[in-house]
Amino acid sequence: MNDDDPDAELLARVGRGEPRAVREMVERKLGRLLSLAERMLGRRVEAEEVAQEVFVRVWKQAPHWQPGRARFDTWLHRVALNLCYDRLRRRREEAPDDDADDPAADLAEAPDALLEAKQRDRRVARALAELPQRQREALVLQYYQELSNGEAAELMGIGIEALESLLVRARRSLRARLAGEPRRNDDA
Amino acid sequence: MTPERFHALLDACGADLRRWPEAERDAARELLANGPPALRAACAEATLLDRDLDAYQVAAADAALIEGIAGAAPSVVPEAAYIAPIAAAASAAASDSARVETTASVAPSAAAASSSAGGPRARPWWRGAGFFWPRAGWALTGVAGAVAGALVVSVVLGDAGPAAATDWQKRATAFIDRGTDWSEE
Repeated sequence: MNDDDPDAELLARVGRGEPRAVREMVERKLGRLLSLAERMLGRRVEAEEVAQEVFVRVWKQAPHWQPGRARFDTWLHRVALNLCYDRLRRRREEAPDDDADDPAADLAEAPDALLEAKQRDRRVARALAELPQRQREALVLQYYQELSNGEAAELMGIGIEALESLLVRARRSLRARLAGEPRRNDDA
Repeated sequence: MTPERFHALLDACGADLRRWPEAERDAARELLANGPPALRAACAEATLLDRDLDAYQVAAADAALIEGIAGAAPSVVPEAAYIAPIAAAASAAASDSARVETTASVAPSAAAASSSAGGPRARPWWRGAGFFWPRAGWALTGVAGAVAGALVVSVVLGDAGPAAATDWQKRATAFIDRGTDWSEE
């Protein structure tokens, strides 16, 4: 039960087909969906496709939503994660040796002024993409999506201790992967 | 909170206490302020990884994506289209037209895909030249006669009017639902 779902009122208006509510829902949730999907998939285009597919489901489900059964944001993450899993599985089946994209592939096209920032961005993206899927999922949900440990664990279908264990391994692995790369000293 | 639990949460959640379990934040702050200096050093170390993670930013959605997603939502059928009983009962052709428009707004990409793949979109059967309007005229005449007859009967029978109106509203709502699935309250 959750009576204080911050999205419930907006979702009800979406369910009634209010055009302004539809736009407000897109503006409220699209960024979070892209954030989740791009970090899970490592590909912007696919992340945008996932976001669009999620919203198609939102439009279908909104009139039938029953408040109190689940938080809408949790449901949204569940749908997006399932779509990401489908794509990751398809990717493995189609090209098992080509699972990890090189997120630095587009750096050659970046203007010089953005190059350094993009390099930092991409080395973290690459390290994240190389994590085992469950570790990456735990970190994306808990750190980037800022879900509570309980919400992230529930989404992943595991206990909180198991989630914390995944997070510890993910952060250790990332630290090790990034250790050999140049780090900024401006915050030392 | 024990130093061991502090380290466990630091390793799992990073140095920003806002990402820690809410129930343990106050105890963590207390321990950080008054506990062993090694805890603060461990926090500083964890902060470095947090900053690396924060460097991975996802670009905001562009306007075209926002428009595309919002535009794919089913549009609402205007209330007037199913409030006026005579118009709704008499104009099957008009409601067909509304359904076509609603379908296009629900799945613009599908409509576009069929358009690009198969040339111009197929015209509805009733838009054939010289076919629709004569028949619609006869239909309207017939339905208008039926409505007039029903009105006479309802006046004669007294309380039959409200029941008939209620029944019509149910039918109209069901029709709208079937087309768009967006009219439920």
